Amino acid sequence: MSVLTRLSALAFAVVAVVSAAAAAKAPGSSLEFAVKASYLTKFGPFIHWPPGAIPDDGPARICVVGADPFGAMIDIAARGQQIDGHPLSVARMDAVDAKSAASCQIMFVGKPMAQSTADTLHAAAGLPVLTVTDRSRGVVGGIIEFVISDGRVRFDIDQAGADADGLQISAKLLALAVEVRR
Amino acid sequence: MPLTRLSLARGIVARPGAAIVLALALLAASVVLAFHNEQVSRQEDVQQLIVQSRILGGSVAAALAFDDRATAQEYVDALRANPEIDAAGVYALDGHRFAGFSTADAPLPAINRITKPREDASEIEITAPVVQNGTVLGSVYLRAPIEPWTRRLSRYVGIGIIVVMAAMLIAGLGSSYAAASEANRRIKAEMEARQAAEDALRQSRKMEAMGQLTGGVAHDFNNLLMAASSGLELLDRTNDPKRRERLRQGIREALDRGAKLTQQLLTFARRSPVNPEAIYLGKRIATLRDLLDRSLREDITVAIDFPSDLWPVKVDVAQFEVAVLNIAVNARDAMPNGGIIAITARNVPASDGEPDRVELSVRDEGTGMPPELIEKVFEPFFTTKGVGHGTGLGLSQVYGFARGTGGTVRIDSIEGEGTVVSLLLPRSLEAPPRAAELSENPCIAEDRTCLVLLAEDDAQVADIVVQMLVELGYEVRHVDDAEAALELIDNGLPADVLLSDMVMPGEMGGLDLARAARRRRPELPVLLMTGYSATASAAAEEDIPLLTKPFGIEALGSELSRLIDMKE
Repeated sequence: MSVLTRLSALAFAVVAVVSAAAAAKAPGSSLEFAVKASYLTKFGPFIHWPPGAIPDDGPARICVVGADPFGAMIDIAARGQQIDGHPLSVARMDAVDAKSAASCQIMFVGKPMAQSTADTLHAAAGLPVLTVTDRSRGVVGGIIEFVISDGRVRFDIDQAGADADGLQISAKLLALAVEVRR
Repeated sequence: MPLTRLSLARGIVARPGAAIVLALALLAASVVLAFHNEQVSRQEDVQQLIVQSRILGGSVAAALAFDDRATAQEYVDALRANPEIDAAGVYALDGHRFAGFSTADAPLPAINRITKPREDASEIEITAPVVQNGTVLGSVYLRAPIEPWTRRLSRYVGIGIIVVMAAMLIAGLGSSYAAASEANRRIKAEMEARQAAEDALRQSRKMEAMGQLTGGVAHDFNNLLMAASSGLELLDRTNDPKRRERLRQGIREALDRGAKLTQQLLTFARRSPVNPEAIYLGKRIATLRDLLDRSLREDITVAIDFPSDLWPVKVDVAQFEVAVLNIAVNARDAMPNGGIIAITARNVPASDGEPDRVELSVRDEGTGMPPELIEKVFEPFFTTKGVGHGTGLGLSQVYGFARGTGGTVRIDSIEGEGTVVSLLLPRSLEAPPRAAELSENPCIAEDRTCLVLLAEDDAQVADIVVQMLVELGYEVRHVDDAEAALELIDNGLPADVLLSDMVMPGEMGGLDLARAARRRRPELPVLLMTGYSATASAAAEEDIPLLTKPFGIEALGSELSRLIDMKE
């Protein structure tokens, strides 16, 4: 009961943010990133990772590589969320190599700081890591790319890329994408 | 057991009250069934709605997670096509409405809470969480109207009418079945009563027939007793030899008739000792003519015409003669004004599976008889003559005789023109023995006296037989029983023939005596006499010669001489 109460309290907080974002015709940048942070924490249930991709005893990790546009918003959004029973945790990194990339399940690639976007994506290539970039802010190449459509935050999906990395994306999520690259 | 169950069911239906109870039970059962169906159907509706809510929840999961109201609304709107759902909603995790519709007057709730399915008289409400991979994303709400009870009831009206009609039908059938089985019972009782009446009638007819028979036989016997006794009385009173001869003749005829009567009765009872022998019918013409002339009236002419090449037949001669006599007597009675009785014979060669046969026909010029009568004349006790004029056994004896010899009897009759009765007797393959010289005592020819040992318990019969034997020139030694006869044989009595009655008092009968005598003196000829005996056929089987009582002196003489000749 306490878990449910906490969950719903948290959910209320997140949805309040989302609703606020949806209410605005042209989302302000903080609202826009609040929505994106919320989305990042919600992709998990619609993705199927290969066995062993998530450590049995550890949390599932969302890594924010490069510039972090979310700040505390993503920590709030991730609180109480889970992937396949693993609690979500958020990690921030300036740069990644293949090894550190493998410790992430979802990797948001922000504007480049210590490492180029291409290098970051390259480090994660071939690993079961759901890479997310923000096309609306000029960063491209992730399996999922945020776009703004009709003034709302939507996304494109690169299904071929997901396949190459051994990830299966739920048809429900694909149905919601603005564009799916196969 | 199914029969028992069936009859039980019949028994229940047979009572009209039970049929009505059965019909009411049927009604009650259908009401209970309808109520139960309604419950089940309601549960099914709820179950179906739960499934719908899960489908909706699954479909809108992503739209809910990623804030896509348009898509969520599209999914919800798909349910508008379902007339069984009048409101559907998708709610975010905080319980606020995200998408939905309501076609009914009642709007969607603004906030949704997960509860158990709720039912009331008019609607069902279902809530379900939206879960993706263990993560709760929101909830859905579905509302389905429940058909008003009037509408539901109207759905059962058709079936209800059928059930009521079936119940009425059962009640109706039950009462009509009860009526039918009651009628059936009455008919059965009536049939039984009729059967009993018929049995009684049959019994009384049998008694009537018995009365007729005994009456007829008694009358015939009375007549011949009258003739014999008065003949004897008259015999004592006259010394005129001519008159005495006529009286003796009359007495003899009366006795012959008595003998024939008993013979007929025995034949009818199928107990007459049968002594078939192969004969040529032609050789019997003289005897037959003699017999018929004595039995028929003077205005009847008998014409006998047998061809000389007739095949032999194997019959009991006495029975054959009685049969011909019976037919002739009927012919006589059919010609009250006199006429000709033509007796002819011919060979009938084998055909149609029948063997070679000899046909003997007796034709009269009498009144004839209608066809329906022909069918009946062979029945015992059937007679067209009045009481005291016929026993109804005559043609029955003819029939019994013909069947007994393996032959048959046929009647052709034309009313007003006459009747032909034909005896068809199978041809005998045995050749008849050559006629022996009649009754000469062979011992006399050899100039000696032969001794006959006679065993006979009946003093009167013994007396007569002794006189016959003496007349034939034999010496006689008479004893009363078998034991005495055997003792004499053991003591070396030089008997030439043993003549014995078959039924005698004491432990030994005639047959036993014959066997015992044969063991002691195998060459000693034995001749048995019997009037009526079940052991007669046993004697025939053991090849012991048999004389049937009553017999005449000629028959006795010829049989004795035959036996003595054979011995030598």
